Amino acid sequence: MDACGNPDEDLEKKILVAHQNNDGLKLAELYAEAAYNSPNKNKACFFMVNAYTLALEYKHPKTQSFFQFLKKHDREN
Amino acid sequence: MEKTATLDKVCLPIGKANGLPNEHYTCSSVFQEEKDILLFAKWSGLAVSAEIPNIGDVVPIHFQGIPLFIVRTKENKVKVFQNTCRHRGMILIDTAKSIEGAIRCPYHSWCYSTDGNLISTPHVGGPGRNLHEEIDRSKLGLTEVRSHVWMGVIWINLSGNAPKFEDSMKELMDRWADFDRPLFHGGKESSFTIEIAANWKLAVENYCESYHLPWVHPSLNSYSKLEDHYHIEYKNKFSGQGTKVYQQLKDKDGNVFPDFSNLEAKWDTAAEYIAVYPNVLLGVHRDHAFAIILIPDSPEKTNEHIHLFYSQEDTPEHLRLKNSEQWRLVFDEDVPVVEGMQKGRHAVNFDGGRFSPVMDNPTHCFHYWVANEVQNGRMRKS
Ligand code: FES
Ligand SMILES: [Fe+2]
Repeated sequence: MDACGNPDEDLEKKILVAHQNNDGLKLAELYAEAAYNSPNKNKACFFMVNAYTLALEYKHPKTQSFFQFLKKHDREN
Repeated sequence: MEKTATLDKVCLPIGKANGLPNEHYTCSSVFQEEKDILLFAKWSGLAVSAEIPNIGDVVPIHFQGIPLFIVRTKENKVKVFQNTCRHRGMILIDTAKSIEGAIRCPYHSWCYSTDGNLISTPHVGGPGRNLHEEIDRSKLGLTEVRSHVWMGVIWINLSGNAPKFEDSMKELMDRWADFDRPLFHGGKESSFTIEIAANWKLAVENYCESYHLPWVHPSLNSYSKLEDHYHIEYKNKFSGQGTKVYQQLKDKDGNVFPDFSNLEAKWDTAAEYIAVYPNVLLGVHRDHAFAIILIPDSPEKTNEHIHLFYSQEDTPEHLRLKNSEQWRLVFDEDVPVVEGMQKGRHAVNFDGGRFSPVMDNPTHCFHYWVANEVQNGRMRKS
C-alpha cells in the first residue's frame, strides 16, 4: 500500500489478472484485501464497494462482512 | 394509416361471414394495432418454464420487440421482468445463464435480486458511497411483467390489466382439469422451432380445424379420420378440435409412454387440440401433451416454438425421439398451406374468403374474436 492508500503494484497486478480472467470471487477477495490494507477511509470504502458488489453477484461467503464494513462507514444501509 | 376495412362481415353468422381482410395479414400498422389489442392486453404465451429448470436460471427473450427475461427466483418461482436496468437502461441479461447471487448490470454494476429488487447501487453517491438520498432503491426494482405458469407454459399479460389468469382461462382450465398437474418436458429433442413465412393468425386458423386432415396429413388421417373429429368452440376464448380415436405411439415391442394417472375414461381414446387465444396451441393425450407458442416476428413472419411434455420425468428416450419426429412431420406438413394462405392474401380485393358452415366453425370462432376485439379496440381509441 502506498502513502495515498492505493494498493501496491503486486496487488494491483493481481486485480487486473482477475479482471481479465473474469474471476469474480477472487476479485472480490482482492478488492477486500485492498480495502483492509488501505489507511485512507475513502479509498478503503471505494475498494470495499467493489468487493461487496462482486460478492453479491457471486455469492461470496464474506458478503455480509463486506456489507458491515460499508455500513459502519455509512456507505450502505 | 390508410383507412381500415370494416370488420362487420367477419362477425356475421358463419354461413354468411367473410374472413379477416388482407391487411390483417400483410399490413404493418394493423400488425402493430393487433399487437396491443390481441397480444399485450391478453394472456400471451412467452416460453416454457422448462427453459429455466433450476433456481437462478435466467433466459433473455424478446417479445414483440420488448426485451424481457424469465428467471427462476431463489424461492423457486418463475418470474418475468423487463430486461432493462433502472439506471441508464442497459440490457441486464444478454445470454441464458445461471445467477448465483445477484443480477449485476454490466454497465455501472447496480445489483438486483432474482426477484427484481434493487439491492445495491455501487458508488451512486460518489466513489465508495453506495447511498444517495435521491436514490430510493425500494422504488427502483425491475419492472415485472404479470405472469402465470400453466400447462408448462409461461403466460404473460404485458398491459397489466387483463383479468386474473385463472379467470381469463377458467373454462379451459375446467375442461382440462385432468391435465392440471406436473408435466415433464421431454428435454432437448422434445423442443423444436419452425419458422414460417406467414402471419401468426394463419397458424392459429390452420391449427383450429380438422377439415384439412385428409389432404394435408394423409398419414394422420389413416387413424385420425375426419368423421372421428369434433369441434371445440368457446366464444372469445379458445377453439379447436378433438378426436375420439387417439392411438398411442408404440415401439416394435409394443412399449408405450406411461399414462397420466387418474384420467377420466374418455381420454382412453380421446385427444384434444385447442388454440388458446391469442398465441398458444395446446394438445393433450392420455400419455403426452404439447404446447406450440407462436411468436410473431413481423406481419409475414412467425416462429413456432414446439415443446412436448410427458407424465413422468423418465420416459423411454427412443419413444420420445419417435414422437418428436412424428409431430415434426405433421407440423412440417402444415407449413406449405399456412405459407400458401399468406401468399394468397396479397391478391388485391380478396374478400377474406368464406367458411364451410359445417367444417370451419372453430376457425370462424377465432376470426370472430379477432374482429370483435379489434373493433372494440378501435372504438375505445376514437
Ligand atoms: S445502466 Fe445499469 S448500472 Fe448503469
Ligand atoms: Fe395440420
